[in-house]
Amino acid sequence: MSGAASLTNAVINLLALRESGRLGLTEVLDSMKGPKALVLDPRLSGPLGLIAEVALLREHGVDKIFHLGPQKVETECKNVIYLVRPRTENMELVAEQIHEMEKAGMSKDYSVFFVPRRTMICERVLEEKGVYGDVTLGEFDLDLIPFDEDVLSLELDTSFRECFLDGDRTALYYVARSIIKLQALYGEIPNIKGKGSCSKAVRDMILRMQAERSNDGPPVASEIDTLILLDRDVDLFTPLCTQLTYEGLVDELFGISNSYVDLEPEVLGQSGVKKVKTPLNSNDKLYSEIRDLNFSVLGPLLNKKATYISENYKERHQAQTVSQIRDFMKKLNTLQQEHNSLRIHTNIAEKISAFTRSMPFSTRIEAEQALLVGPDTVNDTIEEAINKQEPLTRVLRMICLQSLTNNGIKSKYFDFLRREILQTYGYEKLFTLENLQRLGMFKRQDSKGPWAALRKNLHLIVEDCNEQNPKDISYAYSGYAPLSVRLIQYAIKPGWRSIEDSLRILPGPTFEETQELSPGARDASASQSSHQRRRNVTLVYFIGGVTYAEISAIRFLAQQEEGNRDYIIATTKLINGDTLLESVFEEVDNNLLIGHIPS
Amino acid sequence: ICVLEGYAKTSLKGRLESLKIAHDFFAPKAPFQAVATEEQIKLLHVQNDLEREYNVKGPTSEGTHLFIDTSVSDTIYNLLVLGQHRKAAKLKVDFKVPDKRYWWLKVRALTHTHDWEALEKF
Repeated sequence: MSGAASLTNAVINLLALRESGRLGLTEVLDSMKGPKALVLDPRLSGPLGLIAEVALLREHGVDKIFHLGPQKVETECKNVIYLVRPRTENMELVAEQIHEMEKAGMSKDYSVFFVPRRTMICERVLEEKGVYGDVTLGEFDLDLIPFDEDVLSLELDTSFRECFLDGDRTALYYVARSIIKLQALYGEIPNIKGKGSCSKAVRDMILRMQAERSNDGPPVASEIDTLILLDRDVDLFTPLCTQLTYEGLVDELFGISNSYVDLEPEVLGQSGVKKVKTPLNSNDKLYSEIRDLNFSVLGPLLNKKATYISENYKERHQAQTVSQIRDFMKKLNTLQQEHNSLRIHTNIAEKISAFTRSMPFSTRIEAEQALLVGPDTVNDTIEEAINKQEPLTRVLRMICLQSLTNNGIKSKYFDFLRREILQTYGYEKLFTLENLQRLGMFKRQDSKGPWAALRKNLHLIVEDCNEQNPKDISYAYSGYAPLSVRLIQYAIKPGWRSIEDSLRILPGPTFEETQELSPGARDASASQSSHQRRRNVTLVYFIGGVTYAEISAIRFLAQQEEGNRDYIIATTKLINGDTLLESVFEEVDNNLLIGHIPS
Repeated sequence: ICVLEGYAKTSLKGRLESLKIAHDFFAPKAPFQAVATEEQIKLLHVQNDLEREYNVKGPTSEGTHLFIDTSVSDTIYNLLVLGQHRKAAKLKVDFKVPDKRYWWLKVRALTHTHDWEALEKF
């Protein structure tokens, strides 16, 4: 496995999860005999790359891989397998390609596999396009994909929008199924807690599915003792803030996608113009050491590493005897690896620090901090950002954060902002603004909002934040403790009962309960824990997305609790403020042709 | 609100017609949207005229419009770059663009055309 995380150090055996994904994929491929062409939904190629490598595809007869798009599929193979997300646009493309191939007189066998489920509407589209009879349909039940030793994602791009804007519950069903699958692999999870209406819906689904499928397969000892479900809309504050951990900033600046980042060759010290895909995960020892740190402490640390490595290189001169030289050669390999990764990260860090030192960045951070510590408004900063025509996502992040922390924006200013945005970024943004209003992220000011109380009761603002030697999760945002992670912290110790007041003012129902293990599972658990005291494992499931800095903060929690609790983070999608907002942008098809009205 | 799917229309004339429908739809209960739509109609008309005047060669080399379908700010910016300061100022008044934003546009446009003299004067 070249770029994907090795997973061997994970607290639960995530390899099993990846293995089940690989197995599913090979079943799909083997469903057609002989050589075949594979046509992939571009949205899937990233996630699939994390469970299988090209060699595996070759082994199972894949001759050529195409991306689903408007272009033709040209292949000698008689078999064509489509692997797609169940989206109607995809169906139209599939139908078009099939028509093309048929027209060219190439009679082939077609299979379409939906990931993770087929839907009626997709079948309907195929029917309308007249290819329904020509294709074999199937499902490839791929859900949670291990991104790293402690991070799992469904990678559903539009999950936030579907859950909280469109009210589409399909994603919730996938979430519930993925939890059932985890329970089959790692045992029943006795404690379930959650906050938010989507979480509640998922909990209900899990319990129902469990009741329906009791007693199949041997009971498995519970490896995960607690499940915490969290709706993204319980904490919209955090994703709007700029992440200040190393990994977070890499994501804000370059965009991490499927645990890879596309870097300019110059950043890597290479020549060429094509961007280079660089894996970012715990295989890289250095990276796993620095990813969660606040960026401000990174410089000195990288410096120390560099000195350490160069000292190690010097040892070669001291090596006198043959055995010393042999020892050194053994070390050399790891040394070179570390050296290489150090060079990459030093270059990335340099890019980031050039960015963080720039004026617009510091203005933005100042504005965010002012809003969080508030009550405050940053109208001037917002106006200036609009006037400079900074990217709309950036402007909206600030506006939404102000709206959320101040419980709305003063009526007159609200209208002013809307006008400014439409006149600057175009009339069609009207619908994006409406979406934000529907989500409650952008609204007119009304009665007092929850922010002031939350900030105080949950100690979200930590004054003497020590980024060097953090004592609290607030280090990840330089003084602001992410609400979501604070809730998790309280859920574990001392329990949510202690913060009932705060939970009440957050949206959606709260639940906290212990489910009776089935007798078999109880015995299995009991017999195992007697000879091996395991660490407690908590699974945190973010419905609607999680940011890298939040993950860092959760990892920090794991280090705190006297080392007896580990966290696994699962989500529907890894996000940052920009991608979150982009997902609720209303795309307006603009088909305006060149030409004007003749007078 | 789905009325606005009319954006898919390929001709400017069709676009204007569907915006008109949208406007009538918004008018009774969504004053902000109605005004915004009305302005957009007005803007497209202005842009149509500008297009004819300054883009005589037809579509620009990249095959795009110079004015049509750009935002108010961008339209003003383009006029300033073309040195049409009077027309730009008129647009500012017509669309009630705040001074601050207008100055920003002007500074950016003058920087773009390297008109340092004018930049210093103002």
